[in-house]
Amino acid sequence: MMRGVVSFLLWAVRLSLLRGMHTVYLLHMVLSSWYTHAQLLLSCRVASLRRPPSHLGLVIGEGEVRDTHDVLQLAKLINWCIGMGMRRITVCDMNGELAATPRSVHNALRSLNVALLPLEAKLADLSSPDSPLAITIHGEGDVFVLRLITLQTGRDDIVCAARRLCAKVANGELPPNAIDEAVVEQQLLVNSGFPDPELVLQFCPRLLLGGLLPWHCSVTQYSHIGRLCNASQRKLYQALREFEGVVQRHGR
Amino acid sequence: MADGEETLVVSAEPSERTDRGQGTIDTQLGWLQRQFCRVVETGPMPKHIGFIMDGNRRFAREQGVEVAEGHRLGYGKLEEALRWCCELGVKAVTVYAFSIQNFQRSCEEVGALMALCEEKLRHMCGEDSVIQQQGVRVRVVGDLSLVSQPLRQQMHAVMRDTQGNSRHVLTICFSYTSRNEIAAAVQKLGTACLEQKLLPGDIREELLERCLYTCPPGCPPVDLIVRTSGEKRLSDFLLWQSSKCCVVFTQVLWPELSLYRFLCVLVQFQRHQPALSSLLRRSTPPHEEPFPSPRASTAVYLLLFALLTAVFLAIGARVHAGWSFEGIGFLLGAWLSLVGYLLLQHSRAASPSLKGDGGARELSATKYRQFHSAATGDAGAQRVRDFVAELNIDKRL
Repeated sequence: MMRGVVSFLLWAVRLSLLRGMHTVYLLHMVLSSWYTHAQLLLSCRVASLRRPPSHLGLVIGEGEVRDTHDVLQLAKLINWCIGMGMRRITVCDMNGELAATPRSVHNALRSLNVALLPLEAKLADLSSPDSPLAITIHGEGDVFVLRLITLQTGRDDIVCAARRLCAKVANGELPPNAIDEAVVEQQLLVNSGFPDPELVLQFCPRLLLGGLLPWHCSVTQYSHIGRLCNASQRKLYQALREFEGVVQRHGR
Repeated sequence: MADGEETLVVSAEPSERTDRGQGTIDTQLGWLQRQFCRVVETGPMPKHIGFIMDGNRRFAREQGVEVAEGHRLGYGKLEEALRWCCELGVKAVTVYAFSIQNFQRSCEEVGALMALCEEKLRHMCGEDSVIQQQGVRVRVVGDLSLVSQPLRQQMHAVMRDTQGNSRHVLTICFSYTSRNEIAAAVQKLGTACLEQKLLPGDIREELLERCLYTCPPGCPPVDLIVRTSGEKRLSDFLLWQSSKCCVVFTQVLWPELSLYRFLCVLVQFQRHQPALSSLLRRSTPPHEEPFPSPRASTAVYLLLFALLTAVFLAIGARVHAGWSFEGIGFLLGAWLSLVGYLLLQHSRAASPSLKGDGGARELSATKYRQFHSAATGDAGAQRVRDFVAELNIDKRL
């Protein structure tokens, strides 16, 4: 009798210990998952990136922007980027549809109207064919500039710069030997006033870089994060964190 | 700025300038390796590949050897990669050997690299080198004014010595950056404008591209750039071309690159080829047709190879593993279905692009001619043709 009671007690203790361990393990799993998620969300919200790229490029592949829903998704992405402290973004649309209808992006950005507060959005002068399409948003001491370009814009910019320089040479204003990298760069208009893009996020087939400003992307980091419709704040944050960890040697 | 690729007047005897690669090809690959190459070849293949040979120093550190030894192993890998490309019918290979920014490295390392380069260039001139065996024409491009006189002479010697080879082209970018190359091209156009061979209005994208020294005459445009060592950036290599080609960033260090890894890269390229074709269709300059359809002979070869493998598999499974006939039948069925599926995928990938690209290229060529005539007139078109002809003679060394 006594033996039976003892064995029952032992069984009960073992069972309760196991149950307890299992509960603690489950709690740990749930809490750590919440903690990671919360940490990620919190870090996204407070823009805790140590080194957000001074100029971000977004490459939008063929078929990624088909309707207003996709434009809204792009606007959301831009909105997250603004929230994380990025102030200069160039969007390269391989189809050229966005650059042809910049107002659709502008309207989508206005409809979100969350991270942009208290910034006031307004379209830049789009009438001049020489200036690239740009949306400039001014705030209190803070300016956000979004440029919309196409696959061909970067190459065309180099060709136009070559034409201008050759005209100067033909007029005797510039000797041909004086043409070097710095002189060519001064003639490039599309990225004038911007630093070179530090990071390009590809929303296109992985192996295509998208032709975003070839001259300016000499040391730019590329990151492929899938399709635009599946873009999320978390994926964006991961790409930015990966970029933070990159050490460039610049040939040394 | 100095001339990128210096023009040489070659007065070699005709007998010295014959193509040494006209005989049978011996790429020193094993039987199985050649079969894998045949399988991959059934899909659309790049005609021009650019390599950023990164990771020699890291490889040397991992192996616990001197950095110079890492670079030496890297050169060995280049020879090997050249063999693979010859086996796979890749017409042109461009490699990033030394950047202008690499001059910032320590004097010892730069000196060792220069000595290694001189030694290997001398080796390329030898009859037993892979360059001569495969009939490879070597071009060394970049701002060569920055390198020492003996090394420059050696570069000229190897270019002169391999000038008669026409099977493949190896372009070695030495003391090179892509921005420097574009600036040199603009300088060349500027000189032509000063000499009134061109007018500034004649300058178009295609003409600028022709002036780049990584676009030799008769060479197809770059289809694929491969960067080893996992870094996801171009580091100022082929920036102009990168917007209209595929770029693969692979994790392995350059000396670790194997044929099988390289074939995986090519399969990735083949998967993305429809996207690249679509991109090229929308581009203006007319190119040569980059992706021919898979050859019928290689498709038949692949089928025969698959059948032979199936027979071997069946015998092996029956004799060694004692499989039942039902099991063997199932195995053979699965194997042949897989081969059939792969063949179908390859034919699908290649056929539309062939039709589409041919048409688009024809269309874009017509549009280009119309646009060019409208913009510059027939006289302008004639000026451009004369300039391009002169440029081709210059580039031909």
